[in-house]
Amino acid sequence: MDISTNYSGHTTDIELLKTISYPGGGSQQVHLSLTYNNTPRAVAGIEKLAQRYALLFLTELGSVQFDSTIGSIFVPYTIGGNIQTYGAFISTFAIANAEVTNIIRGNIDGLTDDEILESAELVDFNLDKTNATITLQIKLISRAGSTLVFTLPTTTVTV
Amino acid sequence: MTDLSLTSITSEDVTKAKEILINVLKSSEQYKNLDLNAGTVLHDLLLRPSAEILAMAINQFNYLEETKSLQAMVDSGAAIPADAVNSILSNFGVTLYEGSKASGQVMIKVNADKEYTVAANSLFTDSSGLKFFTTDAVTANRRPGTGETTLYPASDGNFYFVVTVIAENEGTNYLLNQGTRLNMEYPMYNFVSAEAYNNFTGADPSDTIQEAIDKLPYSISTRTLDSRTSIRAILTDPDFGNFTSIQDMSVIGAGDAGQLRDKHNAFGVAMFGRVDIYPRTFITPAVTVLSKTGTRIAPNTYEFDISESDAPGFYSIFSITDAESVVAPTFNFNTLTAIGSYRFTEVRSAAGVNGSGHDISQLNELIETAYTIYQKSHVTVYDVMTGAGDTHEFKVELYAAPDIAGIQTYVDSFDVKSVKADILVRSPLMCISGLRMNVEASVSSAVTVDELKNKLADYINRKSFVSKITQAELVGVAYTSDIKTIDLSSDPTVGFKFEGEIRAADGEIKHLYGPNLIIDNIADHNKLVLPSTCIFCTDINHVFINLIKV
Repeated sequence: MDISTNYSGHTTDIELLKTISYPGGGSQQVHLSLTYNNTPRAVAGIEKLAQRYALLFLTELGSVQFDSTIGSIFVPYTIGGNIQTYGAFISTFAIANAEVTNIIRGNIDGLTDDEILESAELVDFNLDKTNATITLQIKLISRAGSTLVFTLPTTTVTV
Repeated sequence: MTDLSLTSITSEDVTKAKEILINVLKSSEQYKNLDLNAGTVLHDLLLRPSAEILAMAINQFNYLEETKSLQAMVDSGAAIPADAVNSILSNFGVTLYEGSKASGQVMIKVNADKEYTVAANSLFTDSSGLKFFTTDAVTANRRPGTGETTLYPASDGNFYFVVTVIAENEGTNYLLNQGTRLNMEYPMYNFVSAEAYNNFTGADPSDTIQEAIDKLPYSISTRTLDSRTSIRAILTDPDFGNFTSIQDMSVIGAGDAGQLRDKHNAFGVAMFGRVDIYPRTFITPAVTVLSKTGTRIAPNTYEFDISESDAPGFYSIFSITDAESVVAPTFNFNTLTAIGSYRFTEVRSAAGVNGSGHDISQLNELIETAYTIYQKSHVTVYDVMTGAGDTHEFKVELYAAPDIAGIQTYVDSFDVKSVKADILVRSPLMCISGLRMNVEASVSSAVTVDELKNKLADYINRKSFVSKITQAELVGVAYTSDIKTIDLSSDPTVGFKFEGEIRAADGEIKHLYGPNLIIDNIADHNKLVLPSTCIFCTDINHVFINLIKV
């Protein structure tokens, strides 16, 4: 499989975040998808870290059978209508970010410093009530000092 | 077999399976660079589903390992379904003995002299909701016809008849005491009341796997009447005798102590060809209830006979009370008969020996027919103060081992009968025992009186053809429950008390005083009292436990 950057010496994962393996300047909007251009791609390095962060962040905590510690509270709190103010949004992100950071730091087998999360910041966000979409711009800093900013859209589904 | 579904595995199972898969993949040159950490796509789409499937497979494999043999089942300590056990036992042509349900008789009182019919499976319940069903349809009449039962007049002006019921489920909690009030689901017109007519019996627990292993030698033996093993094999095999009630057995052959019939020759020397079989066909003591009409022979004194067919091979009379009484006679530490029974004497004699084909000395008939189907009894009852008529209706409760007549008939049958030996079947001599313990447990302990009584009664009831039961054994059984101390003093009111009585073949009651019951101390082979002829048994109501939580 192609790897856009020379990440020899790294362990690889399959690309899940559409366009994540095209890091460019600024913030790259990404979506969860395994079918981008129908070409399977591998991912490593900080891109893999970003993918992992996004996947864990969007997984509902407790929804994984046999592993109730995986995930974060972000999606259930959002869908559950617990976020009524911007302040509540910020604090919810903070809690979810801490949960994801702990998971990533607790599972670093075979990872290099640029794949280990040092910190994650919420750079910006947008609550689009019309389209029921939340957009988060997140900046990841790896232990190696490399950074990646990506935009993660999530769409809330009304039932 | 365990379920092939995700509900059959746990988080720990999946975690272990993941570790196995990671180790396998990481050790491979081809896959060592895959990132399998939590949160990666490979972890979520490959590793986790594979681990869950592997966990199910490991569970299946472990289950097969645990059930590949009976010994493996015992060693695993897991709860193995009876189906898995029976699938191995089928190789030997046997099945796991499944416990029986409690059964007994119910006295139904009505207020008019009419014909009454109770359908099969009619429901009775006790105050705690336990259910009992009639085993057969019963029609009661003052002048019963064929297949009908008698409607008796009661002393209070009502009438009563008796039906047999069986418990809904297994369990010793279904062992009702005599006199327990019951509700009838659909009472007939004129119904007054229903209550247990006798102490319910049965409720034998199912065999454990270890017990099934212990019985295996009999299942692979030949099916003949030639050896101890083969005798038991032929009697218990479903294709032969099929006497599933047999729990244990002792065979007394030529030259054995307790074999009196092998010396019927001029020299008094033991000769081959005489065998006595003592089958234990129950776990909890089996009680048969007879209705007998006594004839008055003196003021307050009546007599009646128990024929050889009334209760074949019965061991002893437990109690004699008025026919309609349900006084719940209890164990008396000082005599074989129960507190609450009328005083009585009985004289036994031989019956039906001539023409039976069995060698029984006329000079020793009483002993040699003891506890066989060739004994009868003449009973005299004293101090009967209720009623002054020429006749009196009695309820007679006897300890009688089931299937004695059936087994004797089977071994005497033309196709089965040994051409080398004269085989006589006897009920084992029962050491009817009573136990009292004062026990302390902590307040936080979950132990209950019923738990202790069930354990101790079950332990005693499984001791057959052994020379003794010791205090140490019973204490050890009690300590398998969460208790702190047992009062082992000889204090007459609170100390440990364990006593038993054995009725010898001549009618003598031999007492065993604890704390250890040692049959050798009272052995008398001329009266058939030996460890090889005696079994220990107790009724759960004869185990008195005083539990204090401190």
